[in-house]
Amino acid sequence: MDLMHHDPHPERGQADEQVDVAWRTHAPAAVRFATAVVGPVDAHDVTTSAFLRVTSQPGWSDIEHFDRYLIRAVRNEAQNLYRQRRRRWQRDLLAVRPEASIDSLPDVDLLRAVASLSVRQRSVVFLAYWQDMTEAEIAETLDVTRSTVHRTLARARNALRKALT
Amino acid sequence: MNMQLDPHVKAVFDEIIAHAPDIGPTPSAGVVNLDPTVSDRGRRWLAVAAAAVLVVGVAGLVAFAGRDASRSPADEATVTSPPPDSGAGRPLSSMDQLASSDWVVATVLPDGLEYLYARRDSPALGPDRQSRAIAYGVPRGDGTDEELWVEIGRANVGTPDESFTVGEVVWSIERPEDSWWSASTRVGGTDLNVRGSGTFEQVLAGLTVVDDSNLPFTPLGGPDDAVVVARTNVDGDIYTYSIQESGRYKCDWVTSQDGASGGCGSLVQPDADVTIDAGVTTEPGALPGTVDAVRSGSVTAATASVEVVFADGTTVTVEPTDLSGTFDILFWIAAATISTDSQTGLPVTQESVAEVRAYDREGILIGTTIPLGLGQPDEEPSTEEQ
Repeated sequence: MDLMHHDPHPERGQADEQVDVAWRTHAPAAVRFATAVVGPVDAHDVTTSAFLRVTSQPGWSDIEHFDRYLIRAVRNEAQNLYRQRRRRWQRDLLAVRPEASIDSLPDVDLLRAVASLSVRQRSVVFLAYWQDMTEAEIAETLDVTRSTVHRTLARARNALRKALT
Repeated sequence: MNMQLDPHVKAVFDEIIAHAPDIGPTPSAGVVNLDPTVSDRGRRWLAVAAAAVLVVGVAGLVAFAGRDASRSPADEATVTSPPPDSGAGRPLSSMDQLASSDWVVATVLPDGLEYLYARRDSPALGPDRQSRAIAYGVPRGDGTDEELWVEIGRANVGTPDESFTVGEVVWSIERPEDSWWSASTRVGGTDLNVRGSGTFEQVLAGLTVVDDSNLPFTPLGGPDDAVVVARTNVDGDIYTYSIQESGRYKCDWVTSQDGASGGCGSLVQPDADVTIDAGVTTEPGALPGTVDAVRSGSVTAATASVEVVFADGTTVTVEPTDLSGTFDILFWIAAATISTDSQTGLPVTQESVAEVRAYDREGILIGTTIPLGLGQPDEEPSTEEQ
């Protein structure tokens, strides 16, 4: 077989390896967070978009606490996704209000309540309840004030508590 | 933390993130740009020939009641896809033209990759969708399976960076990122494109042309290639739900006299006792401030009735069917005219369906699916967040 080839790009190898290591190290936690916030279908896309956005910045490898930075980027992508969908809904007239009153399994009720939380509420609740973060840690991770975390968590708790009663 | 809520909420998030997709290979801009219609299965829903038909892809989060504990995801594992029979193949360099029944297959694959499926664009999908492709990758079943495509009827989308010659075939290579590449050539009057990552030399050198009959499964196609499994109507419009299975992949289509919507994806759905797979929302509905929503999906054969709760509270109960008589599961399709938010005109929920429940013959709830979606909007914009 006659093979002819030219123009490799060896200088890109080191940068690619850094990106590769960053993805393998931080993507699992970011994908879990994205799944909790936007659901399993969009989780990979949201995480990938956030990761590409972060790693396309000059000097990204010097970012301190890259894990938290990526979580924030995922949160921002999730909110962008919501805004995009919202615009599309406006165009498509798909606006509907849930009024169903349902009685069945306790976990299903709670799942339903989680599904009704906003992106911000879901982010805070996931970090508080699943990651066991304190309000201060959540504030630092999401780059918001502690009072915002406290307020958001209180509202979300109320919604979730109703589901359990 | 609130001790009463703590274990319950943790358990719910355990369930949610149990559905987290595999992280897959390291992403690059090239992956996103190369083929968005293939790389993102969550958005791979196609509107066909009907301006009034809008396409909505949905996915569910599944919770169970009385679930068979002996059933595990491993039990639902996958059909192994044998590779195409390339022994009957002809060298690509020997071809002057590619017939409509010809497929170009890769006989040399990067480590870990295997044959996934063949896909042929249906003429019903539009004049710009005339290609046919074979996909290779890792069968994760999470929407990130494909890592190598060999597609007839498609050219490079950008400017070639280099050229590569194997035998007498000259390829134009585009490398938007160092690890990802897209190689194009022409065979007679037909474009041929190969896309993947890693090294491409051996992949291109190993390309062979085979006939339809050498493929392990029928190629995935459009609505005309699927069989009708369920049917319903709303406002006098009849909607049918059609399925095509091919190896461990399938296509779902909802069709009406206005057109069709649907797409193809992995057949592997661990824990999928109740699924929401396809649907359309048409507007306007029969009354002002309404839309007609149609959703469809599958349930296990033990299901006697399916209750679909639409987002405005409208509840429709349907009997699941398999009108084709060819599957070991059943399918549901439900339609309703649902109201929009008259005050804001804005959505409150992402999905037009709030919940789908499956009941057995004794009326016992055996499964329910709640689309997770994106929930409600935040009450006020945050100016503190970055």
